[in-house]
Amino acid sequence: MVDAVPSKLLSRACLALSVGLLVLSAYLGKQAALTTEQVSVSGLLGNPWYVAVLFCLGTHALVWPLALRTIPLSIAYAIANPLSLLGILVVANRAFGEPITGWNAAGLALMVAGLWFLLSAPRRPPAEENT
Amino acid sequence: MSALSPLAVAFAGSASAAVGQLFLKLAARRPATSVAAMYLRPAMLAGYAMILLSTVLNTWAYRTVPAKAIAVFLPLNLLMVVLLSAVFLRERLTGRQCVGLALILAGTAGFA
Repeated sequence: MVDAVPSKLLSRACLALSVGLLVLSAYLGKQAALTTEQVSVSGLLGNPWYVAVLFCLGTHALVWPLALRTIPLSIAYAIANPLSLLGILVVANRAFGEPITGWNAAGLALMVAGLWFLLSAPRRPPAEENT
Repeated sequence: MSALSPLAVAFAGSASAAVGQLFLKLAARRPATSVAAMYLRPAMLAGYAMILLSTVLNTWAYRTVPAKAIAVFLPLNLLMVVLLSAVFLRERLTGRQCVGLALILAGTAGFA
């Protein structure tokens, strides 16, 4: 079977785009929460912020599988999660005035260190690629 | 859902997203004849459904939980995804990668 879905470079680009979409959806989700009077299907779909959340997550849902084509799920997720947290922390501070505490900064430092370990480590091919 | 703790709802959303990710990977890793064929696989659609459910749960939780506090559940979600990947996809991390993962999880304490 021909694999019509391309390459490692595209997967990495899709991983970066996915992180951006997650941060944006968190911002939009908070706006949706602040403006939602009642949690119901009609209430949520009538809220433009929530519709924007769905659009972002829908795009993310299309892009993310392309990232997973060549990147192991555990590695892709371990990269995307801390980067998303960093983005959410900055957005929460800038858009909603939520403070960045010393504990936040310490947590971020640990996550950055973890990312460095993760990304600088020689990769062990997953079992699926050995078969 | 008013009787439920917002934190419990956020946890359920995180678990739903983790299972959804597993389904997405199961669908994405197989060779595809076209991009559309990949997106229409049952496992892919099941993954989408789980992620959609997680957004509804998280939106409810955001009403009372600060945006950055709910971000605690992303690393919890990461741990679930790594465990599911190890069990169902046979993905294995090197020792150095495990150290990196442990640091990332420890870093979440700053957000709690």
